[in-house]
Order: sequence, then structure tokens, then C-alpha cells
Amino acid sequence: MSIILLLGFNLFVSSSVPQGPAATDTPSGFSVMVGGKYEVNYDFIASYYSKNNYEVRLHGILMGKELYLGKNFSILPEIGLVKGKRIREGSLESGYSPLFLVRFAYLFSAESSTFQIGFSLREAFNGKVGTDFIDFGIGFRM
Amino acid sequence: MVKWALTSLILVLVLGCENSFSTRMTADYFPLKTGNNWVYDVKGENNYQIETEVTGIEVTQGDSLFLVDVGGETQYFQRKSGIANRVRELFTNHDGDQVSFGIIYEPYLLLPPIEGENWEREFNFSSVHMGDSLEKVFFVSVDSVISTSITLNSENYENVYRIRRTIIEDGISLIQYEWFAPNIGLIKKEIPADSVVWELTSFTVNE
Repeated sequence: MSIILLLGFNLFVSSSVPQGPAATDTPSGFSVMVGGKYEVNYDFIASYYSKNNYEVRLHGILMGKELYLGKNFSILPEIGLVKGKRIREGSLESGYSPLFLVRFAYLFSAESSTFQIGFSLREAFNGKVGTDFIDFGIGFRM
Repeated sequence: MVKWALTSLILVLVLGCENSFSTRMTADYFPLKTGNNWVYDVKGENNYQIETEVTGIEVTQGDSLFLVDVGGETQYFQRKSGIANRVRELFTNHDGDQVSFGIIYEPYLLLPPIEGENWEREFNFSSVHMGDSLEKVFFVSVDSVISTSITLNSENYENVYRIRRTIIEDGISLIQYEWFAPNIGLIKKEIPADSVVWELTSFTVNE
């Protein structure tokens, strides 16, 4: 943890909303991204979706390069790999999924830390280019 | 500038790639939109084609039901988060009269499917008609859900789920195997007892 703090700690907690053809069937959930920056930006991501008896759990790692638009706006495109599980009443399917994510954030400048608010668009590699999840969230960075 | 253009191009190409887990997680295996249309070759004692089409939506008692025309017969489906129910009225014939036992919501497909899952439901009804006591039992069970790939008419379908559906009505059981493809729906159906096979030949599924 101390290494992460030294390299630049970045936390983004979001409400995650599925999009696309299965949006009706995939429940909403939440995601937590914790990361930092060392040459490139990196993030560890964990997502959890649950409704009735259906659950989706994802966790993995992403890497990208943050771009700044002026002082307060940032765009962070990242690509990575997540391990996923889909569970319903004891039946389980698991697998790995590549992930492309773009996070748009507004940064509130402060002296010691920076609060951020924004959203990210996620594309799972399902053969169709499009947004599969939208995450609306807040966080901070040090 | 060239670096950005090249990166964008690579990204678009990579994003178009398909990953099995991603597809199963994000695809709709039972797409019901008005105008969606599937044509099947039916092979058995007689060979013919059957057309299935989502013809509209009917709102009854707060429920939105999809009307699906299957070769001239209208079937009703209800779509809720994580499940598609087939809505049907149960009848029995008694002394030449058709007696209704009411509407049932048969659990047709859990969505998105997961390998190895199974579900069943039994509906029991009793009624009195012209002084006679009548009973009706309708049982549906789905099991043997497996993930597979299948080739139909030279077309290869990946990330397909095959299920076995057993229906017991009035003591008569019907077993059929059904294959569902991502963002297409039913692509094959096999009824072993009648040696009948449905195979998808063409389809139109609206986004």
C-alpha cells in the first residue's frame, strides 16, 4: 500500500449499470478501482452485480495513459484483463475477459488531495464494438 | 498523429474480437423485438419451412406480453429481468366442452443461461364443470444446460446453450432439446419422440 501511495494513489468508486443486449437481464452493481501511476497508469478493478439469484463478479487489472484536458478534465483509456464469475443458484461459469475502459473525470483541485467525479465506459470483447457497462462514480487521488 | 491513428485502428480491430466469457455475459439469448423473424427448416416425416415472428406487444393487467407468431399460432412471452416466461392458458376437454383452468407463466428460459443449471415448475388446478370435478397438472422441467458450438447450413454458431425441456401435461410427456445462440435466439430444436428437427435457415434480429 505504501508503494502505491508513493507512486500516486487513485480511488474511484462507482455505481455500475449494464448496457447492450443483455442489459435487461444483467443487474446493476458497483465497482471499485484502485490504482496509481508509474510511467503508465494502472488500476485494479473489482465489480459486483447482483439481483434476485443472479450474480456477476469481476476483478482484474487495467493499464493505460491518462490525458489531461486543461487543469480539471482527464481522460483515462485503459485496457486489461478481468477474471469473471457468473452464478445462479449454485451453477457457476467462470472465465477471463479482456476489457477496454475509458474514464472521464472532473478533478476538483485541492492542496493535499484531489477529488474526482466522473464516469467510465466499458467494452467487454463480445464481438460488437459498443458500451457494455457505464460506471458513474466519485473518488480521490493523492 | 500517425501514432494516434495507428493506435486507434489497432484498438478498433481488437475491440471487434470475440471472447467467449464476455459474449455469454453480455449477449441476449432470447431477443424479442417486434419484427424479429426466424425461418426454420423442419425435417421429419414431412419436410417444410416454418416462420416465427415477433408481431407485437400486448399489455394486459400491467403485463407486457410479446406476441410471437409460430407458423400461424400465436404464442405469448413475458420478459422480466433474468427470465423469459411463456404465458399460456391451460385447457382440458370434457364432454366435448373446452374447460379453461386459467393462465400460467411457464419458466421458459433463465437469462443469460449458465451451464449446468436447471429449473422446474408444477402447476396444479382443479375445477368443477357441470357438476364434475376436473383436475389439471402441468409440469415443466429444464435441465442438461450445456455450452457448445454447432454448425447449421454451413454456418458455425459459437457460445450456444443447449437445453433439455420436459413437459408433462395430462400424463403425456414431451421431451425436446433446444439450442440458443447469442443475440439470435432459438437456432435448433429436436423432438426425439417424433424424429422432428427444426434448423434455422435465416433470421432478422433488430438491435
